[in-house]
Amino acid sequence: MPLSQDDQKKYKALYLQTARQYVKELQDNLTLVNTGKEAEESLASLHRAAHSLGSQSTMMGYVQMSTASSHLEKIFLAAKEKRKELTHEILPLLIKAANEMEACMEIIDQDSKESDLSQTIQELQTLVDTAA
Amino acid sequence: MKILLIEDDTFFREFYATKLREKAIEVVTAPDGEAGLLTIQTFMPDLVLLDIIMPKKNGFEVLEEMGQLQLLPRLPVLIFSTLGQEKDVEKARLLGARGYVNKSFFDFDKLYGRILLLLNGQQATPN
Repeated sequence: MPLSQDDQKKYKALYLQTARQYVKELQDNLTLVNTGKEAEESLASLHRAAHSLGSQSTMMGYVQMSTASSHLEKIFLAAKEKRKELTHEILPLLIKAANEMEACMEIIDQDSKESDLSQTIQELQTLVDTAA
Repeated sequence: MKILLIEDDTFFREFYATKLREKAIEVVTAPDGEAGLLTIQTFMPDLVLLDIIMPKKNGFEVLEEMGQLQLLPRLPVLIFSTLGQEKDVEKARLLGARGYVNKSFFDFDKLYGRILLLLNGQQATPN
């Protein structure tokens, strides 16, 4: 059940505060993975951050943020379980996704609506399908 | 009624703690599994709401340790999960969790109903 409008208003600031932390965690750890450092610990952080970002976006009713996060979570879980490698072909797309989610939160902050993430979601879906 | 909420996500922790406190339920929170296990000993809750994916100790490790400490027979644990975690929930059940709630779909009456069922010694049914 989505939150009531009252609760959405009341908890939007907390959502944005925590969601921004998760996106930063995604960006920081993707940079680390891209440079070949801290791989195992970074993958665990990436998985946790994408999971939490998706869960709270679902609760707030931000469908695109939720879907993009859910795809990222699946990709990072596959990487954690060594079913998929985050190669230098894949990483730019993941970094782009994180940057677009950061921009989306600015839009949410300004007018409570999401920006269009459909193309990124489609690209992430392709990665999810190949990890299945 | 005393509830311990073990959840690393600040958003969910604050939201659910506030909602439960609005119903006059005594709530203490812990931000990870390690802190949660320590808080069980000091707060002595009637029920634990437990996230699975957490830093330090995850929900499975918390359940394992609660089992080793013989806490599970008398202290019910309700898993705080989200969509897509069905395998995790099943694993948690095997480790002694009594049921689960989908934390991304807030329905206080359903949550409260589950809590009461568990405190009355009955098995919580799934969503």
